[in-house]
Amino acid sequence: MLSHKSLKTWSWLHKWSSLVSTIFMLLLCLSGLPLIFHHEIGHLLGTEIEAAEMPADTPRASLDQVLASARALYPERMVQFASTDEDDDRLWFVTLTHTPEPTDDFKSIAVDARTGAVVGQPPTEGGFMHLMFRLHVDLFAGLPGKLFLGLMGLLLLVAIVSGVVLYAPFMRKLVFGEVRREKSPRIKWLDLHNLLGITTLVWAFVVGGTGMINTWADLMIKYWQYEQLGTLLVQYQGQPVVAEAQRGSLQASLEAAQAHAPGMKLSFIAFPGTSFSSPHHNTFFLRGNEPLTSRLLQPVLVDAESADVTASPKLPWYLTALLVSQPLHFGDYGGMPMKIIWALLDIATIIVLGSGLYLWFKRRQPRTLTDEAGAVAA
Amino acid sequence: MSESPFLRLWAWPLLLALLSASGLISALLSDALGDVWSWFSLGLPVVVMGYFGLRRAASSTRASGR
Repeated sequence: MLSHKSLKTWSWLHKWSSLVSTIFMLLLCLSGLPLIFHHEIGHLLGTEIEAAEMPADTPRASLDQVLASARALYPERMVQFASTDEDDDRLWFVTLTHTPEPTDDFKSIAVDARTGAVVGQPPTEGGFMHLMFRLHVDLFAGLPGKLFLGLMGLLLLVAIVSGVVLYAPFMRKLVFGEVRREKSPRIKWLDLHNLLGITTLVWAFVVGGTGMINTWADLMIKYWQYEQLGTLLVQYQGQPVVAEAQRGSLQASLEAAQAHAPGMKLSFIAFPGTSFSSPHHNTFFLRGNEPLTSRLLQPVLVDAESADVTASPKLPWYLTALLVSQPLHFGDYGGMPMKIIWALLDIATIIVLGSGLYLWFKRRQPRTLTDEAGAVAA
Repeated sequence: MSESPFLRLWAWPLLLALLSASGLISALLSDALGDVWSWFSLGLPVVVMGYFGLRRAASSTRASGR
C-alpha cells in the first residue's frame, strides 16, 4: 500500500519522466507505425526489387562475379557489405561506399544471384519511408541522436513502472475497465488512460526496452571488435587493411565459411576494415534454421588473402541480446496478423501519451485530479 | 472472483500481462503454433481495450434508438 508521501513521490516520477519524453515518444510511435509495414509499403510503391522467376535448380553465379557487376556501376567505391534477403536468396544486396567507416553515403545494388547481373538500386535516400526511418532511429543526428532517443526510451520505462504503481490508488474504488463517462471529461480520460496504459503495459515495456537496447547497437559492435576480435587476432596486429589487389576469391571464402558451419545460412558478409569485421578478414555471418536460431548469428572470420578460416568465435551475450531484441521491437516475427496487432497496440500507446498530456494540461481546474478522481492513498 | 482487494484490483491486469508476455515469447520460439498463440494472446488485450473503451458509443446508439 502506498502512503500519502510515497503516492506524491511516484506521482512526481510519473509526471516528469512522462513530460520529458512524451513528445519524442509520440514522434517514435507515429514514425514507427509505417515502419511496421515497410515491406508491404515498399511493394506498393514499387521500390521493392523483385527477382526474376527462373527454375529452382538454376545454378548460382560466383560471388566474385556478383561483386564485380555491382562495383562496375561505381568503380570509385568499395564494398562494405553483401547480404541476401532472409526469405529470398535469389538476390544479393551489395553496399558500396567511399570508406570502410560507417557512413550515410552508401549505394545499395541488387544483383541477381543466378545471372550475376545487376537488377536495380533500391533508393537509399529521400522518400517518405526514409524520412520516417531517420526520425525513428536517430533524428538525423547519427550516434548522438540514437543515444538521445535511447535515453528517452529509458524515461518511458520509468513512466511505465511509475504508472503501474499509480494504477492502484486511482483504481481501488473501481472495477476493471470502468470508465466514468458521466463525470467530467478529465475523469473520463483519466480512466481511459489507466485502462489503455495497464492493458498495453507488457507490450509497451518490451517494445520500449528493446528499442532502447537497439540504440546501443553501434557501441556494442565497437566493443565486440575491440574486446573479442582484438584478442582473437593478435597475430595480425599492426597490419594495415588488406589491399583489394591482394584479396583472394570471395566465392572460395564463402565456401570455406559454409564448410566450417554446415547447415547454416548466410545472413551477410562484412568486408575487411568495416565495422563488423577486422582489417584482415571477410567476416561471414551465418544464421540457423530454427525460428529462434535464425535470429542469431555465428561469425566466421576468413582471412582475406588466403581465404582460410581463421576463427569462428561465439557471439558474446550482449550481441545475442541485441539480436533477440530486434524482432521484439519490430514485430516482424509473427506474420501479418502480428503486424496488425503491433499497429493497434502502437495506436493505443499514442492515446495513452496524448491523454496523459491532456491530463497534465488540465491538472488543477478547479481541484486537483487526484482529489476529483478519489484516489485512495492507503 | 474472490473478495480479496488485491485480486479485485490486479486479477485482470495480471492476466493480460502474462498473456502478452507469453505471446511475445511464443512467436519467437515456434513458427506455426507459436505465431497463432501470439495472435490470440496479444490480440486479446486489443479486444479488451476496444470493448471497455468504446462501450459508451454502443450504449448511446442503443439509447438513441429507443
